[in-house]
Amino acid sequence: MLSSFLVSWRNLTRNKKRFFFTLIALIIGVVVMAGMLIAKQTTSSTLNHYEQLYAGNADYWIQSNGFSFQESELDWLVDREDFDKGNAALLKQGFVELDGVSPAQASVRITGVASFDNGINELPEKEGDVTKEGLIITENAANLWGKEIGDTVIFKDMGSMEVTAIVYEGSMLKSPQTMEKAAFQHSRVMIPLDTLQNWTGMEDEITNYRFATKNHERSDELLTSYQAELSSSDLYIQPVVIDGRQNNDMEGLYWTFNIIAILSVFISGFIVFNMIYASIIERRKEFAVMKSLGYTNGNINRLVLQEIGLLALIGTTLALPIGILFGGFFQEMLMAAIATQNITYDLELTVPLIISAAVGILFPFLAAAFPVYQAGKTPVMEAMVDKAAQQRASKGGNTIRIVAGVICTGIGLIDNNIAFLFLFIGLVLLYPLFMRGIQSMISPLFKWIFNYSGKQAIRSVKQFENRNVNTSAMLAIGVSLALFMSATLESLPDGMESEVRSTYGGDIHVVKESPWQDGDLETVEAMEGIASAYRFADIPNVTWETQNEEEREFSIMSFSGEAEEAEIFLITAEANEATELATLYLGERALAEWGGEVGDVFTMNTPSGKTDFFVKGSVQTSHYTNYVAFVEESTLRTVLNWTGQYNLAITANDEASIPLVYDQVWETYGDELSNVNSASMTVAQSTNALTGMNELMQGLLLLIIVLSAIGISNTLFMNTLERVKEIGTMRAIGFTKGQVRFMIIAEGLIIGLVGVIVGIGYGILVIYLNSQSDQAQALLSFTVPWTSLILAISGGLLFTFFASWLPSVIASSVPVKEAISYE
Amino acid sequence: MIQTIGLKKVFNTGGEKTSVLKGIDFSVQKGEFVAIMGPSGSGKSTLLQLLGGLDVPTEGAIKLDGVELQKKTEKQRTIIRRRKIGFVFQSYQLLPTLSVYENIAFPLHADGRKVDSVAIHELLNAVDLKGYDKRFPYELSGGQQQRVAIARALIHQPDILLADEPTGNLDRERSSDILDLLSAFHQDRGQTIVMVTHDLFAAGYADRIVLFKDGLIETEVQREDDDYAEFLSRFMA
Amino acid sequence: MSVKHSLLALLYEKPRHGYELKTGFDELVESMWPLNAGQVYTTLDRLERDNLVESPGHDLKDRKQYTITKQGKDELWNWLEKPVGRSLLKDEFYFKYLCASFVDYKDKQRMIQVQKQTMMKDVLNLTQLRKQMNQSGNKTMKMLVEGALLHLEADIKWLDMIARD
Repeated sequence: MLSSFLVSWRNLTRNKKRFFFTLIALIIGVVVMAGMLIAKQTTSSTLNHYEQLYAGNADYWIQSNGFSFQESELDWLVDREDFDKGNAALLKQGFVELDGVSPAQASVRITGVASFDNGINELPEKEGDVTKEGLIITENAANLWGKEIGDTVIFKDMGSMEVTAIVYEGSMLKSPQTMEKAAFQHSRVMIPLDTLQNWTGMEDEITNYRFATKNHERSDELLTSYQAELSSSDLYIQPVVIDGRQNNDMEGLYWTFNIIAILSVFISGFIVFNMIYASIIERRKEFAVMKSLGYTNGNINRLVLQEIGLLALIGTTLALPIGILFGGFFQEMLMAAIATQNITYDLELTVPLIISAAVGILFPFLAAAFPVYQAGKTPVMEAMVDKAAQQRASKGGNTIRIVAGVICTGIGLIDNNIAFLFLFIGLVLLYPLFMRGIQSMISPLFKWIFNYSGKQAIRSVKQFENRNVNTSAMLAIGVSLALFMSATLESLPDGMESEVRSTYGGDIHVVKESPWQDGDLETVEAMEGIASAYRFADIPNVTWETQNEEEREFSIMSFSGEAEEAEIFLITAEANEATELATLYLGERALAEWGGEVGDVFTMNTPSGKTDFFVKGSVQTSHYTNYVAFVEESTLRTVLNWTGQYNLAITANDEASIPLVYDQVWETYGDELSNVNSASMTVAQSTNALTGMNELMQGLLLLIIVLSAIGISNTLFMNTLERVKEIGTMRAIGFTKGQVRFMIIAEGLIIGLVGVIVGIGYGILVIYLNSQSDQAQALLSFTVPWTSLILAISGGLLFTFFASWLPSVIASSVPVKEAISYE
Repeated sequence: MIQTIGLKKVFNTGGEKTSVLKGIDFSVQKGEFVAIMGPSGSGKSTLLQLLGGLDVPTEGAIKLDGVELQKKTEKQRTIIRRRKIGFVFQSYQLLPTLSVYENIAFPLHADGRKVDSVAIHELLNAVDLKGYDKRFPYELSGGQQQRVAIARALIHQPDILLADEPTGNLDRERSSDILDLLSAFHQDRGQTIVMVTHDLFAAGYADRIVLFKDGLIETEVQREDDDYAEFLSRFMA
Repeated sequence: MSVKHSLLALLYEKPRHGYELKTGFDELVESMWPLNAGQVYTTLDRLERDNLVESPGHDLKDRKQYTITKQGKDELWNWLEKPVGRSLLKDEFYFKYLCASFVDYKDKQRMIQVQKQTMMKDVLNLTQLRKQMNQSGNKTMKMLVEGALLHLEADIKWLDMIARD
């Protein structure tokens, strides 16, 4: 057994350069895939982890539809059998005493917590002791305020307290990184509940109460019984659900990661295919001899499969550690791009590594299936006499390929995500046509630049058409995806700005701790620079279940009047049926996550307990990444038991008066404001995140192009190896080394240039189709990303040039003497 | 025309030094047809490669029209080769993707010269392949391929034609055709030819046979008109 | 070499007189075997004596005509039919080699070398001859030359063999 593996090893490494390049391609493929999977898994588990931290060990929590309630209202709860432990919290706005900063920058949200160490809340401790009663601030706040453990922080009009612990940023406590960011984000700190109650004069008042049940029991019956207890009060209960979808939309990102992983495996699979194919063609004679000595097809298949297994095993074994490194590096870049704070995370390795290892081992076998089948078929006599049988592509096969290509392209033009895939299958099928067409167009150019070498190159490209076509197609797909992504990222900010502005509702949103009263509205409307203002509700922590019975949580926003005229969303689909039930509109993402359809009945746990709603329509909105529901104002009190409207949307007279409005609102209501936000800030935040992504995506796509370049290198190696004699002859009868080098480089450049041209063509087609697409039209306009275009052309050609360099050097140093002497 | 002085060639194979040529003094006059014979491994092919500038000697000099080949760079040698030397090989070595016509035109293209289609067709006639210009190598028999190779080796009117076992892959009858052809070019056009062969039949076509043995010239014989008469009378006695 | 049988063959074709036999012979061997008239006549005399040929008389120019007899025809067929055995020591060089070994001849290597050179020259000349036969279209003679070349090839190989001893 050992010796048979030794033989496999010898066969594999018979051609060292080829083995090396194939191994590199295999490794890069697996590394990129592992990296993507690690990034995906780590990101999702990190986000989950932070949500989890926020939820702590609580199973349920009780809130009021008012701002706060008496803790004594919960006396019934602690007496229940199923109650384990709980923690009360009070949230209050305040200001830290700092010199030379605006009220907005000094604003702080204080959470008073009854117990620091009963395990309901968990905090990522950095310094000090989080279980000790005192002031807990985050890393950012400590830097911003210049405080350390033991320093005293003064809260304006409240009191002062010593810092007892500093924690990492998290969902529970977080603070802005810079003073600029502090203008629209407050710091969050934690102090003992009784202290906060004392400072604010809110004896026994709490905002929410989280608790754990015995054995963490959660069930519908339990929830229903709690809901029954609270049905006549202003209080309501919700299960603690971990769902970060309102804050971030990661699906698109994960999709991109998947595409890149698939593409890289695909390309490296193709390179492996090339290598195995070439090696089998080379060894036809050998196989024939083996067969004449009594080897069966099965024996030969096993021999080849063993070699592939060895290759896959070596490649994967080498790739996995590199994959971990790459994944770690990539994760760091990703976090820097998308996170607004320092996030600590642990790499999730197990599942990504198992998947990568499995794919890494299996895909070489898939790539080898066809060549191995060919090897088994080797006819003994023909191979032994080595008949120079020129295999000519059958005309019939060609026609079928073209027809299939046209059909696939036709399907690809349909406005649908899956149909898009067909566009690329069509690209691969039609590629020989493109290749020939473009080649005949560029051949005068090549003949002019490279003289006779160029002419020879054009011939050689035809000689190994299939292989060259496939290589070029890989590059084309890479380039077109690169263009599409960068066009998307380029036009997305514009699309996003208009989308945010069209569904934001007013210019500034102000959230207060108590509901906005009629008098407040009058006060605000009387302020300078304000055109109009209206109130709306945003009911947080509404839980529901998807059709797969997974728990979800989002919030419900209210609008007044007709849905068609609502400022905060655009209806994309609407049901015609009338219903007795209360109606709501679901954001598209929420609808997709739920799994139901417009016109179905949607059940949620609301402040009034379990409530059924008729889904009247689906909408697009800039709020909560489309993961939100909208109800008409009148429904609030009657159906949802929600009395106050804490949100105020203000429309300024003009852009210039927005800062003025901002200042006035802070001055009047500063100590009560829990959040102030504006359309411009939202735009800035979302486009900022995109800019980071843009660079990351460009980096990744560069990687795809590099991999394609290795593919070109590999293809040229194969082409060269199969033509050693020919090249030797050319050298003997008059080609200089330079001319041979030119020829190979010209070959590479033809493959590269056609790839770039077709890639750009398809890229622009895809961008156009997307801009016309009903699904994405609101976001994407038809823009040609000129920078990326130039980058794609120059990058594609430059990489191809480098990719052709080594094969060209090797081809030019083909030993003429050996190449031309006997067989 | 071409002359070698004290030519030595040592190959390094796996750390072991093999002396293939051990001091060859050899020359070819213009218009001569010389056959180099010897068993395999005697160094005859190596000499041909050195004459063609495909390799450089370890020691000694090769003068082609007074130019010392071993002093030239690889590129210079290639350029000398494509202007002054024609090569014919045992396994024809036609370029499979080029038609017969294009194969013959290759040396002119490589040198950036204008392709003289009249000359190519004349040569095709001369090698008895009229009308084959658009065929591809795989459509031809071995003998036909070798005739294309000869035409290709002569298209640029080389000073010297180097043939390495030109009949090695052919049966006796096809061999005779090829040798008759070479002989005709030699006699009618005064083409200088150096041919390496291990076949006595082929060697007989030359004016002179140089016998190689273990990297040295063992013996050399020349056919002259007066010894032909002497031969006849002796042979027939 | 059997001049006798070649004359029988010529007479088998048609009756001839002495001079005609001489020219006929030259034609047969492409004038490459110098045969003088005297040799023809002595051979004819011997043939007549053995009753293999006979003379029906003289022609108009008074030249003696010869025809082949029944006995002569039989002799010709017998000769053609009989296989030719090879005799080792008829080859002079074989004999020289034998004697040289016997006397421990110092320059044996040189002897071989010179023999080889001569044979190589013969190859050159034979090829030339073959070319001539090709041009004159004498296929039978060309085949003889090819045969001789094959012999030479074998001889040269043998010389290489003994040179190594």
